[in-house]
Amino acid sequence: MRTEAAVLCVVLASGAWAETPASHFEVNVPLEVTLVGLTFGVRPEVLYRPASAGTVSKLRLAFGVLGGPEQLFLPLSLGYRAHFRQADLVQPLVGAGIELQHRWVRDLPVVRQFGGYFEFGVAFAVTAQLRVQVLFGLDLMLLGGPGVGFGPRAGVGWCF
Amino acid sequence: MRRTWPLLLILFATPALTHVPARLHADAVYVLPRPEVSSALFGEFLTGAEHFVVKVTHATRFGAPIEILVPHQADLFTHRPAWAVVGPGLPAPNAEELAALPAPLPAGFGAVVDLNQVDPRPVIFESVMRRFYWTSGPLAVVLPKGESELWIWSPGHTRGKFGLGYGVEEGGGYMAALQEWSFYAY
Repeated sequence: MRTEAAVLCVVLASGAWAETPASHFEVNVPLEVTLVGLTFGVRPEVLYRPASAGTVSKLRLAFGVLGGPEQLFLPLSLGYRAHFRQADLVQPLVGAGIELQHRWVRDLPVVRQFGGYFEFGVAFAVTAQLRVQVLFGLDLMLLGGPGVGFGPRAGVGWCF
Repeated sequence: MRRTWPLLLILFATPALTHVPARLHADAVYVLPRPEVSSALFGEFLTGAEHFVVKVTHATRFGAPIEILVPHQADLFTHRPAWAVVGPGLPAPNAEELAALPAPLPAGFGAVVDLNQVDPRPVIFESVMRRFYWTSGPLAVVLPKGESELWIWSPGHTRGKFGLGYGVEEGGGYMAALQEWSFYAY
């Protein structure tokens, strides 16, 4: 009962937690683990809102540097992200786009794969500018060897 | 809806473009359930003295490329497991191959042996599990009608994981891979 009350308080409070940011840019630095082809690292991203404040649509550009026991993984992504309920504490995120993946080992030329990605998650507004976000990404490579990859990422972001 | 069909096709076709994975244990003979479909048979040398055995039975003469893979990890650089196809109707191995086998060759048996000595070691990228492996290089073997055995051992008694690729007709594997995901994926 106490837990339910706490959840209810958070939900009610979330409606007035953050102001709608008027900024057009957002930079996020999430840590990521890829669970197919194990790698760990960062995948910084820049988001741009082309329309007026409060609209959900953002363009996303991301470049990752991740390393693992077998490879260095360098993904480059370009896509769209819908960022909902930006005035609330909990802000759902959904996105999709295209991705070019580079994988490198010492004794083989760079392996390149091209395809698309999907992502979903939530951002938590700490302040009007600062956010913590948690996402789960899924990619489907079509060229350079078919395959599906997925993994979680989490980090902080700043709107300006 | 019409536009979603290509995506659905790709999503469901991708698992079909894989070898069927299975895990080998040195203390039990593994019987390949569908030898006409390609397999990726994974195991691990814990002591370096293990002898893995896989039984395959073909209703007719059957050609299959076979290669042995080792994860491309620095501590496995010297790990070079060997394989052999053993059975009646196969050619007699040469003296070096015969001496390298992990067990005496039964009377009437021949063997095709690959001691995994190619240097420099070729590297492949396996796009489904997104892993890099050193490979012995695929060697095509014509298996006779009837029962044969695949033997896998570590001539240098090195320890570590390996995968044996067998066949070309891919028959799906994502669901099977999920059963022992941590072993196949990492």
